[in-house]
Amino acid sequence: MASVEASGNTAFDTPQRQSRVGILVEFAYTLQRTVRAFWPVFLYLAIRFKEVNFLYVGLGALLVLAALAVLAYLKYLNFVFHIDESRREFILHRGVFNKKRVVVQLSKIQQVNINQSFIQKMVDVYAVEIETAGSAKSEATIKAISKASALALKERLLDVAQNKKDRVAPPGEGEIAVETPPPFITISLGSLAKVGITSNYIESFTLLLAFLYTIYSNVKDVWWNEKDQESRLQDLASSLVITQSLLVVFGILVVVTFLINLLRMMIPYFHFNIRKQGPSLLLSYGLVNSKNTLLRPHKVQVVKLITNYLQRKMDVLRMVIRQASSDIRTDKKASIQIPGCSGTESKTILKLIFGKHPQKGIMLKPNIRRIISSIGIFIFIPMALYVAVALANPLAYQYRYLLPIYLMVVSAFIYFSYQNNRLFINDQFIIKQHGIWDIHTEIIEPFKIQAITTRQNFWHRRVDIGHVTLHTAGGDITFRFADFSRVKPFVDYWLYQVESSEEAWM
Amino acid sequence: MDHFTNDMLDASSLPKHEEVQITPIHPSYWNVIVFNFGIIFLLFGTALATIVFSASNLRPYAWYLLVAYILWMGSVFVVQRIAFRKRGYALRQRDLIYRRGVLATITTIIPFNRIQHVALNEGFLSRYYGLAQLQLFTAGGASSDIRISGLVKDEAERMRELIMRQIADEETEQSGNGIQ
Repeated sequence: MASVEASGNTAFDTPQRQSRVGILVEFAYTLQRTVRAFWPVFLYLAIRFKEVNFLYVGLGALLVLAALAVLAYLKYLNFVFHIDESRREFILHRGVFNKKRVVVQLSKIQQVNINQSFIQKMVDVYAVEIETAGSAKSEATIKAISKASALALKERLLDVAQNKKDRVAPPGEGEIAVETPPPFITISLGSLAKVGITSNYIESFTLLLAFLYTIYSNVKDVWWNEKDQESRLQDLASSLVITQSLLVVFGILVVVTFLINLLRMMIPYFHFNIRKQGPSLLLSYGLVNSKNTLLRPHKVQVVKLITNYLQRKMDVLRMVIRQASSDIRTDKKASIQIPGCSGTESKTILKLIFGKHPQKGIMLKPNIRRIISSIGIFIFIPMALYVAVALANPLAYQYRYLLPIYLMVVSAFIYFSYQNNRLFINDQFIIKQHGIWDIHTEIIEPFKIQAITTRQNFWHRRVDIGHVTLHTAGGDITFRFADFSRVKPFVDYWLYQVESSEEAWM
Repeated sequence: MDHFTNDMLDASSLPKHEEVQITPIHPSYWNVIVFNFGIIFLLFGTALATIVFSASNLRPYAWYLLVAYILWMGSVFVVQRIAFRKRGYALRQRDLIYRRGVLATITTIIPFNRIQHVALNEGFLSRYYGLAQLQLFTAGGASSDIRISGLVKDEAERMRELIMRQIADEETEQSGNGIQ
């Protein structure tokens, strides 16, 4: 065990290559990229199957493979990394034709992820991804390294990157952190299934529709090239039989949507488990590609809980944890999803992140004007447009029976959107809740606020309404249509909290 | 996190950001705005004139287009004037307040201990009037960054130094905590 510790401390000071099987990984990736780039060629060969001279194609393929193998070997040779202790930098050289030198300052490292793709799984190596706050793309990725080295490197990088005060394990006990403790939360397939069937309907359904439409138009091109046959089909469509079978097709679509949702949840998040590693949380998941993400509680800026009526009944919810990022909208890596956990599990996670369970505190409701403005935008304006269109073109009039349906749906949306929109404040947390069907609850700590913006339209001055935005490094939290004179003292209070806080926000 | 377990303060005893005296932008900066506006007015005007005189079917409407263009630019000018008059900032002991907006009054408050870095920019024309632009960046992303144009250069320099000193103090304090 002592040898692990010793290698963990000094092994990366001298420039070194990846694991030898790294050549295979490089080869597989290069091959994958080549196939992706030249897929039309393969398609062509497949279509002109009979006219192809197999000798030439075989020779060509062999040549290409040999070239790729050489390239992979050169890539492996030129891929060298080490840690420069004196300058506190991680340095990586790579590239065959275009040489590249990546330098990452150890103090700027935010996250170190250890992942394993399908290819890497086959040869039992791991990828180490080093992330900094500055850019959305991972700065430096090592593609093939043994598990022990990966863990040691990660330990080493984070050890230096982290402030000394965060270090829980004293230096002599490094191997304890290397051998990860058993997970304290493992999300069962059952929970994943529950979340899978109760979320993302619209997304999956549109995906499916798009997919079916592509198939339909392709099939149509091939089979029904003649115009008259297509019109005959359309005649048939008007008959009752076709209507019934359309309903059946629709039913199948719905079922397939559910199934796709299930798979989209269960494959990427398979065996999602969370372990404690010192002060941090290690999240591992994935069936085909396994992923590991380290979450450091003090880097967390915003925690979001998402749940809906059905999920509440089944006691599951989703969590999104946002870490500091220069641009939260484009930087996918900065937000970490916990796909499904029970109420008690979410409480455990919240307690680990915040040190306590967030209480809701004083409740602020948006002003009733929020409803009025929604009615104006989503009911009054569309109605006026419809009336105008119907007056100009009586054809539109025959769709009038859709109007009450529209009104009912939109009124329900407006009502629930208002009813669910709340801001809860106490001296340790600010909690914003919003949503129509899926209810989002965003939790931040006041001392992690970066700046505050208030906004008041001139027509809202007399009725004392204003919007307030709390800017955090994990995105903005905006509460609109607040009672302005009620929210302003809170702004002063939050500023006081930020300005008197000695805690590091990151 | 123990030092925040005290009860909620009486908010009325805290300094109110609303009641702070807002310093307007230096009047000379209006000249800079007018100059920039003038350039844009001429550029667009020339472009429009070229299009009108090269397309023969537009030529009969040349006068209408001219009037429309002047009305449009005139309203832009008025909006610029209102925006200029509503712009202002206030420097407090621990934060900076920046207020602006035409239809809405937008107030952004950035605490000094959350500023990532400060930039001082000088435009070509601003330099002639001895003015500068102060840019403040936080980790809150682009939506929370502010830039205040039309500050007297010395004043801007002083503000920058004050903020930089605050940031430096903050950092030594934090690393001091870290060693314990």
